[in-house]
Amino acid sequence: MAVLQGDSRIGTQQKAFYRFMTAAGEPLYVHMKTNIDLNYIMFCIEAEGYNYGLTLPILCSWIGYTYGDGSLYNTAVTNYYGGMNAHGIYYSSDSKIVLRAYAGSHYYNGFILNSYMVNPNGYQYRVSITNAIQTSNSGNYY
Amino acid sequence: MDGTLKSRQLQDQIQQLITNMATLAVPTRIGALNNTGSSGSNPYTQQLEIYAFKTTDSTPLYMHFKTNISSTANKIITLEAVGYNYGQALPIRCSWSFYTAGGTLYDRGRVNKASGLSADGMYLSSDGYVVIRAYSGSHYFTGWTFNAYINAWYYTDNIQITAAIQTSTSGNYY
Repeated sequence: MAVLQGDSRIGTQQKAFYRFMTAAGEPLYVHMKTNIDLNYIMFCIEAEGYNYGLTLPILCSWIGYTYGDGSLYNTAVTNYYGGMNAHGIYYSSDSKIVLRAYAGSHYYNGFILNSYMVNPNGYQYRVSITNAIQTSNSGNYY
Repeated sequence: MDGTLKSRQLQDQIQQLITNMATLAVPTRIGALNNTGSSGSNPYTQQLEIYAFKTTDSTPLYMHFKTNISSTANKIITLEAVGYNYGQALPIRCSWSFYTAGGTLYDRGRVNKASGLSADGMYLSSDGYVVIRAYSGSHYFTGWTFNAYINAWYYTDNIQITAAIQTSTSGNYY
């Protein structure tokens, strides 16, 4: 059903599958726990939005590959604009991918997440966010 | 095979079934859902995910994508690729902007915002259609999807990739 709520022809893109907004300038980190598990999934997730407090647009991405033994391969975070940074990727204590974002202020910040599940492993995987929190924790939260 | 693995495989099968069902239910033309025109009279100015490409082969290094936009179509279009080059651990975000008129293709700019794939070039095929060319130093387990953005003055309602190939040809293929 997630596909029907999105706007995808083929099923590899989920546009705006999650929305985050806050009026609180801090804490400065946002942790978003996904449903991506250890089942050999290559993922590309982008955040897109507007950091009002910083007067900057947001476009950043998290990429990586989960492995059955708990390894995480070929990860990268990329920040195209300055409104928010893709700060890190880690496994939660129950082995789900968590995306960590950072901004110098989140004052009236808002963004959406888009997923691009386009690689041979994890093709068309339906990504969702199961938990999210704005916190001062710069390491692992979940 | 233990119970956990069976359960996971069953979950995967169900997930794939849901995906397949949902994909079939999606309209083949989604432009109207993504209308960015101010007047509403040009409802296909965004066409998302017109094509998805994936490969496990690291070489050859060039990709050619032939479109259904002819050299006489009088269209202004940006095609954007977004994805993940696993082998190089790099995101993909690049674009080709072009204009066709009177039998000529005008390259209006190529942008590589990320390094996982390069918008390498564009040309007209031997039968007069726009072809865009992409390049990467390795395509090992890479994948991306194309979005199309159409200038509202010269819009088209159904951009398609009609042929695609991974090849060593760095010039014209089609």
